[in-house]
Amino acid sequence: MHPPRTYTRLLLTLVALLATAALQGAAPRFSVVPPRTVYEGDRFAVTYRLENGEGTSLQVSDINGCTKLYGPSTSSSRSFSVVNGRTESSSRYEYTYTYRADRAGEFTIPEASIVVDGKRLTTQPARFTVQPATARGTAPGRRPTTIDNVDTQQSGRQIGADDVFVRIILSRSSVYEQEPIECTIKLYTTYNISAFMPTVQPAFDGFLIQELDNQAQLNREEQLNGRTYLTAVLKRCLIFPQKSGTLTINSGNYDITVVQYENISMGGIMTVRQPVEKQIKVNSNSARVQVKPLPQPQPEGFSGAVGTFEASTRLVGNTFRTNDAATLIYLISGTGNIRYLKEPVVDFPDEFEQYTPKSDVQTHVIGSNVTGTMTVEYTFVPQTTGDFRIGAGRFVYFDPQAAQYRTINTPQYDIKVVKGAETAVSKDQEAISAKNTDIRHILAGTDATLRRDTTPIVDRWWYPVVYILILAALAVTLLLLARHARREGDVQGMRLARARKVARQRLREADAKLRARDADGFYEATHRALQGYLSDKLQLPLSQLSSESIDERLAERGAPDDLRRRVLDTLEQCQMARYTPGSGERTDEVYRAAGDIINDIENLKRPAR
Amino acid sequence: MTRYLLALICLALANLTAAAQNDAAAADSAYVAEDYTRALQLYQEALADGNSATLQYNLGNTWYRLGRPGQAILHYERALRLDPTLTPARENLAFVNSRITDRPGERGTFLSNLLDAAADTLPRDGYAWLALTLFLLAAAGIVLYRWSSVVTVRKAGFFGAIAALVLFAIALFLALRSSAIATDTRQAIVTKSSTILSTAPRAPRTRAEEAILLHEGTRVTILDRLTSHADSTVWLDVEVDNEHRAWINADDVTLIYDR
Repeated sequence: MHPPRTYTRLLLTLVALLATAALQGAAPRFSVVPPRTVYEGDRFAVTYRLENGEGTSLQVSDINGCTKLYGPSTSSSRSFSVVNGRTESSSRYEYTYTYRADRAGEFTIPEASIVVDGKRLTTQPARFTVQPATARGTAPGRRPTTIDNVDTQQSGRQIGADDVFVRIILSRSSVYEQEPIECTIKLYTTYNISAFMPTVQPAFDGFLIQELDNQAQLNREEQLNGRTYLTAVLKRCLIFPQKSGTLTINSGNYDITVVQYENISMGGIMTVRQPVEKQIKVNSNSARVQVKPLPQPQPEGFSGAVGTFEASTRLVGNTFRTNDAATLIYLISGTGNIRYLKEPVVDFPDEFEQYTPKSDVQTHVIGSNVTGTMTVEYTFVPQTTGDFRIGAGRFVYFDPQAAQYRTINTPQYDIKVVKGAETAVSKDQEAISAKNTDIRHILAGTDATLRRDTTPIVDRWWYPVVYILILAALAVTLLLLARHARREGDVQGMRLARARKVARQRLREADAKLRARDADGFYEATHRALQGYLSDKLQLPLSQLSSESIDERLAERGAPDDLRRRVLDTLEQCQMARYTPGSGERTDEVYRAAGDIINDIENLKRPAR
Repeated sequence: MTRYLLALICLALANLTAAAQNDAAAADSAYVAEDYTRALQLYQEALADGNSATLQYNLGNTWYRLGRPGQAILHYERALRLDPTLTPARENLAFVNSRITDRPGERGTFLSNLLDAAADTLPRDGYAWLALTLFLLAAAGIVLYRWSSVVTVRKAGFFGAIAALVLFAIALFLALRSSAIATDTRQAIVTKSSTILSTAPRAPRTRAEEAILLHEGTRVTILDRLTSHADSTVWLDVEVDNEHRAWINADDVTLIYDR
């Protein structure tokens, strides 16, 4: 046993294993590539392709109905690649037979087989169609260029607008404002292109653009209007219409150098094709987008968000101090024009110092939509202590699918701000300041105050009348007062007036007796009337009333002798008559005398006192 | 039969009053519920049943909430015509006046403004009642003077009557002034959002005839009125303040006190 040899064998085994693994990873494949478009009388190629293997004893049957011109011509290619330290190799052998299509119709390429590593691989039968020569309609030189037939890419040809052009492809042609549209600008060509230079960039008037990743490679075949083109995506972007109406997109102008082939005769039937570059200009194409305006009226708080969104807020921390910065985080996530959202307005009290909000938008594109999140940080510094309510707000967006506005209410936070660290300039007290003023509230209980006539009372008819009435009342009162005062000021006058009244009353009594023919009663009444009258008039009590005293007082008052005698006589007559029967016939005389006496005494002048 | 008829009339009257009360109370609730359009309608219905300073004040508030400062000012002014001591109306009038576009210059003279302010210190009929009371007091003083025999009482009556008469004269003067303010048909408020005043009593024909641009809510004093021969519109010669005077289309203003 020699250890080195053992190692060598082990190593060889490992290499063999690895090689087998590599071969197993890329199994040999044998396929047929049918011709693309064949017209009657054309030459066409059928290629059998063997990948990842070396074949022997190729067996190919002729295509029934077509004449084999020559073949096979063989070409091979081999490639190695090292990925992550692993070596991969691939190989390709191509066996090409050239046929001529003798007649139009459908043909079948029969099975072909090849032996690889002792194993026979067989292709599937493939079908292709030979178009009648009339279908082409044009001479061979005028038939449309095709990407795989250099015969159609002659240098003398005019390059038509449908040979090389730029097309705008929109995902949708009718959208709401702010609703994204995927826009692809694609180059279509039937020639090979050696140089490409945009002279006028695509124009997106009225749109905001979000570019998407794109590598402009001329690497894909595409069928369009019955022709096959090589295509390259020049630009891929999402566009957000900013205004309503019909908006137009221009694809831009390009200078393109295409490759055509020139046939150079080498004598005899030998011709050599030589590529010739030709520069052409591709003009702008345009596409139209119908942009619908957002429905009116727009709800309060709407700031242009279109799509489907979620919104939430988060308050960082739970203790707040004056002069201590705090943060409210507003998170909006969803699909739509998230990149172009305005920062939502968050309601902070005036007592909070606010900084410009910081916003961060992260987006990625899914299909023709943008999804992402917008994070806005609101930094605020409470300036005074107290209980505050912050963050209440609403996020309103337009949902284009449902064609209606939706509102997300963000929660409000009740926070308590406590005293924080003292600042260098600390105020002890602040003057009370009104944050806002408004009109005073309505007054309730209007009903009780309703009046039909609101004329000022000064202007009413009764107002001056009341004054006239007051004046009249005053006048009457004053008049009455004057009279009262006059009497009050003179007591004698009072008594005199009363005396006369009493005397008359007494004499009326006597008069009544006279009419009743009661002589005794009459004299007694007359006597009493006179006595009473004199007592009052002369201010003598009845007990002191005598002929002498009466005479004396009457004299004092300046009564004439005649009157004094009459008074005394009448009094005596009355007294006498009461005790003398049959004196009834003189009653009238006595009555008249008594009346005269009273009248005469009344007519006496007031003594000057 | 008559008795039934009487009962019926009583019932109808009771219903009418109840309806008015319902209007005003319902309007109050509508206002509180911020349904200002309905509140306005109900207040105006209540207005058909009677007028009051508070009703006008509430109407002013409702108009203000509806975004019509001109109408609001008009109704606050009407409220103050009915009760110059209604402080909320005065405050709201000052508030809305500070919010409107136009800020007029000085109005009236010092003396007239002073007298107006004095006349506005009592409720609308306050000075009238005060004058009546003072007059009664004066009469009583005279009676006292004439009636009493006590010298001090007589003196009090005499001098009291003189003082009461002097005060009565002042009160009556202020009562008349107050009434004149309340029923002043020359005051109007611009109720159109904006209007161009003309230098002549017709619509301005050229730029040179445009006098003043006034906005909703400004108070003007009417000095004269004329009907335009051209289109039979009524034009008012108005004084905006002591220095501005021009012609305004009568359709653009509303009188504060309109008989």
